[in-house]
Amino acid sequence: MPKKLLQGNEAIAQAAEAAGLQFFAGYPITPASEIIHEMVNKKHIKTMQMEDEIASINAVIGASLAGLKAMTATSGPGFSLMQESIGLAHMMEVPLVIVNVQRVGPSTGMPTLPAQGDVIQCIHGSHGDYFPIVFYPNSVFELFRYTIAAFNAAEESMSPVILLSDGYISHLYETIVPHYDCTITPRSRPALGMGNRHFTGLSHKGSVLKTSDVNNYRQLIASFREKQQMTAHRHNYFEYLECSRETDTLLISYGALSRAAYYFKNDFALYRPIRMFPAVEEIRKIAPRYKRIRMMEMNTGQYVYEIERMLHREVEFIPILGGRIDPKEIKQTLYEQ
Amino acid sequence: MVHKIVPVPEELRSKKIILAGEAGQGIKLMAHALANILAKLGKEISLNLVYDAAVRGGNIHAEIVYSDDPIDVPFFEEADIGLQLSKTPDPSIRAKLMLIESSACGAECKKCEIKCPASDRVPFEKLAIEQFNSPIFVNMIALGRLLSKIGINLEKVDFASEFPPQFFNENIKAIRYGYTYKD
Repeated sequence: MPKKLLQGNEAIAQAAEAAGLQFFAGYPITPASEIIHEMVNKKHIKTMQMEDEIASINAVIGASLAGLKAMTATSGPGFSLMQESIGLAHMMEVPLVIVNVQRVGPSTGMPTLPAQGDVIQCIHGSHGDYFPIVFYPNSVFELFRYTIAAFNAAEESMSPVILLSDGYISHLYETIVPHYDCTITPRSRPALGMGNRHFTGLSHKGSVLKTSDVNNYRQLIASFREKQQMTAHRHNYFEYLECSRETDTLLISYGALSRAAYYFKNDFALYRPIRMFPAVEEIRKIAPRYKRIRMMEMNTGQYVYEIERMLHREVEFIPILGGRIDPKEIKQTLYEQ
Repeated sequence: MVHKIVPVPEELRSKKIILAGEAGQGIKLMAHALANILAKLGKEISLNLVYDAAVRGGNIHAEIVYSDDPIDVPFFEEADIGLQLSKTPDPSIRAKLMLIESSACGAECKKCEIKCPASDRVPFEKLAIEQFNSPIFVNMIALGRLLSKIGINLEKVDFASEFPPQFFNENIKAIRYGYTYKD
């Protein structure tokens, strides 16, 4: 297969097609718009531009219940609007993929500049307890690869899976060979007409409402968590680079910022979660080898809490704000502190 | 199943290019054409376009890294070669060798804030108007100049797949003109 110069968002669209996407609904938003632009040119994918992101996520839920592999793509402001329906999709066990190409927020923020401010929103944006699987690649090739993984994980867990990106990686062009070495998980939920026709956001058992049955609710939530954990074990993606020199420091980053972290691979060991949630357990084995753990994020500190929670130790946090990834600036911060 | 990614090799032979200009000067087209040309010559490429959210106008710059090896860091502090077409140059654009639209800089160095230790002043706009009757060929003359500076043999480049048929011959002429241009 020949090499192609592909944009990150184009890679997401091509991978979605390869994964068997049949229905896409979305509302254009910088820096995710190229995904819907690509979709409208794909003959085998039914694409609808909706009136907003609330309609988009609900159209995708409907299409999935009707038996189609479905996806939507947005950025922070749209992702905020989708939250209520994401909770609904978890409660109804609807497999679908949501792409969030992050930009600087809050609100409309800085539309063309990258950020990582929606990380915690992925798991706590909707009300109640639910257990999404979240991937965050750091290159155009990885966007291709993990879009396919996201579709597979959605079908395996029967739940929405979130593919995080950012304005940098999604707008970056890189030469890649768009291939995948995994199998495509077939459609898991039977189409309407063949399966259960009653779907509800209320607590339930099968198609029967159980709105005041405490034990049933506990079993339901436990089954959601179990599905997520079992699926996550099959998609245990992370990167760990040991330093060629002796170092007592582990530098953690992810997404676009982790591309800048490679700049320092001769000075620090590097760790990068690709499956953000549930967090990859291997960090518990890697971290004790290092006296000092430092973490960079393009927010004021979101995933660092997850790492600290897992490791039960303090992590030095370095915020890189405002959408600018400048190796010189990062170098100054890293070596001055 | 644990997926552990093999570390990418050192970027030993990577070159960095930065193209800067104003909206409407064709920086995006030029950046895509240059990146595609290098990709078809077998290079690994990263291309990042940086522009504001303005509906019209504003500045744009393109950061290109090309290498024989996979590119792990697409960011850079200073490019090996830069092109500055803007009339109001952005001093944050840094390159070891800078090609500058001479009307922005003048015939002599004004010791401005642009970091260009070995600058090459070219009257791109004047040449486009005099030779091709339109300023829209500025980017193609500049592309030719860049291809010459980075040592690409024009005979090995498949231009037909890079540009739309409209103005194709004029674009190729402008590239060749820039490639062979001498003060």
